[in-house]
Amino acid sequence: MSSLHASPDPEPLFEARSLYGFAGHLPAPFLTAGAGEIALAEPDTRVSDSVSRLAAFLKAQRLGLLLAGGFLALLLVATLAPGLLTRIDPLAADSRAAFLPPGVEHWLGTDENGRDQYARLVHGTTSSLGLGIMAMAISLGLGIVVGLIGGLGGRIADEASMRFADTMAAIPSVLFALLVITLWGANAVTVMVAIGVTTMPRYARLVRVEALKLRRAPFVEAATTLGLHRVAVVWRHILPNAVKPALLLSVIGIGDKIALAATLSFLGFGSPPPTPEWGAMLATSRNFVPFAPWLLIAPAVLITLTVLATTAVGREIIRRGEGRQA
Amino acid sequence: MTIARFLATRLLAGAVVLWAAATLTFLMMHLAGGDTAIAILGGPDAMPSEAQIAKVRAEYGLDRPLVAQYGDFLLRLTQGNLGQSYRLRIPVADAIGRQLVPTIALALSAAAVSVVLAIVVAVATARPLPGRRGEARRAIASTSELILIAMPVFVIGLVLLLAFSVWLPLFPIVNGPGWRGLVLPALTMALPLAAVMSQILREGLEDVLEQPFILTARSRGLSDAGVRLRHALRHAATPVLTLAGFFLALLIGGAVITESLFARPGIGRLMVDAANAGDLPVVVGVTLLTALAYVVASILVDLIGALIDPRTVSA
Repeated sequence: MSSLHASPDPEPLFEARSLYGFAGHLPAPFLTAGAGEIALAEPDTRVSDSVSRLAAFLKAQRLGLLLAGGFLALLLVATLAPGLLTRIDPLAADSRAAFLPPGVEHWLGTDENGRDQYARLVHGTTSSLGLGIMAMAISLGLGIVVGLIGGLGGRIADEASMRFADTMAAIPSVLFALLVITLWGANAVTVMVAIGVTTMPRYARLVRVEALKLRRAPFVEAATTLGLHRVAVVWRHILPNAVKPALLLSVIGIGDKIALAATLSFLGFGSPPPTPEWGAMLATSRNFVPFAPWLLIAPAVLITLTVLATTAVGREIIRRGEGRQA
Repeated sequence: MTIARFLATRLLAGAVVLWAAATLTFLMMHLAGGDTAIAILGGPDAMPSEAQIAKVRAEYGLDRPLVAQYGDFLLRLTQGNLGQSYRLRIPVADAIGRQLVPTIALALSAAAVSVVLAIVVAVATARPLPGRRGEARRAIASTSELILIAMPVFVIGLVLLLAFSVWLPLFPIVNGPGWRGLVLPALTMALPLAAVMSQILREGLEDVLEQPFILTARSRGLSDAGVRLRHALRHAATPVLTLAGFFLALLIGGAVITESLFARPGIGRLMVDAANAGDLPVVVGVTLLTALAYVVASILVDLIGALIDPRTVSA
């Protein structure tokens, strides 16, 4: 698929067909359904028609990606400089302004304490996005260590590291996080570490498989033969290559981690009350659903869009990364 | 490899995972520190006397070396003894046993709904499709799947509450009696599961529908629906089956969230309440029981797979 951007395809019609979603069993006229009678009679215009449709399709794809990227950029602005997006204090309560529906003054309405919901959502981005990215970093770091031990160590080290990954997979993330919270208390650090540890196996397995392959790769054997120290071989030659697939996968993973952190904050294990947090806001919204549905809809849409946007951008990163590798 | 040997190796691997899970929780409990004796006596707020603390330490073997405590812990687990709940003052196994039925009912209904939903959607939207309307149907299905997978479970539950309890008052907001109270919680858990399943199923179906034997079946005059349901589905179902352990973990994780959201009794609620109260034995008990369920489910699925397709055993 990525070759289509770079070079003209030798068989554009075939590519266009499979890309556009038409299966081969359809009779030819269906391929240009809606294109008019002349197009059907002229094979050449049919090709160009398909190509232009393909261009439109790709453009639409780009548009989705652009929107996702723009949304993530907006979230980043909200994290680093929330003041640029709103001047309203997210903690300023006003009992006379409670439960105002969305309007000109309060874009997304107000909550039970008369606080502006838009401002609270903007200021809540920091904890959600920050938690997600930090948890991802912990998960990736642990995964790399465990995966390298498995892939480069002996048989016993390999067995041990993979059984550890199996064990983490046998315990659902939410349960593991609750166990960690019971032991170490509910705060941003424990939540981050818990999420990072419980989502580690995926990356560990990926790094291990790559390390196993690289271990026998000619260029690694050459480096060893040339007398390079083992640590240097691992650091300079194995690590950068073994980590790549896991690194490509990591952007998609940020979305999962944001969702898990929001879930824990929804269950009551987030920051203490006045702090704006998406999950906690949704938890309180439940009590007011019948007469203040905007308190539910806005954060729900925001969380979903965040996960969708990270997935879309993450997929594009994987697609491009794989294209370059091939 | 014979089936018996296959089963033996799988059982051994399962036992290793369970032992590792027990060891991991034991290590975590001791890494976290905190005085277990004080926790048993109701926490520092209860202000237990020195004599009481000493008595509890001796009673629970907390004054013995760590290795001995670890041995005790493992021995008790093999006997099914998960300890005593700090908060409820009853054995953890009893506390879990009392909450088991509502959770199993919820999980089974969610599993059933998700399987039916996934099969219907995947069979109806797998390519080749008849014309543009089919393609539109497929686009709608796969977009909904993406959105459902992106939404955290509690958000799905809240949106369902808004739609079917508030806007269309069909079902109770809080856990109601009978089947009506079960519908929204079960649907909350089923939807994300169904989305993942139907994605995998559809991909499998589309691969199978290109195989020559499908053409043979068609040429015998079988209808398209017949081909899909009777011939293709069986082959496409195997990858879903191998993920049963993953789905079980999703179900149990989903139960924790769903039961809290809809204020339903059950294991998930027990777990959240225990985590809130610092009731460590219950939290550890539910966690280890879940790991056991996961291991048993994976072994069962492997066994079923081996009986259906003996090639998986030799591989």
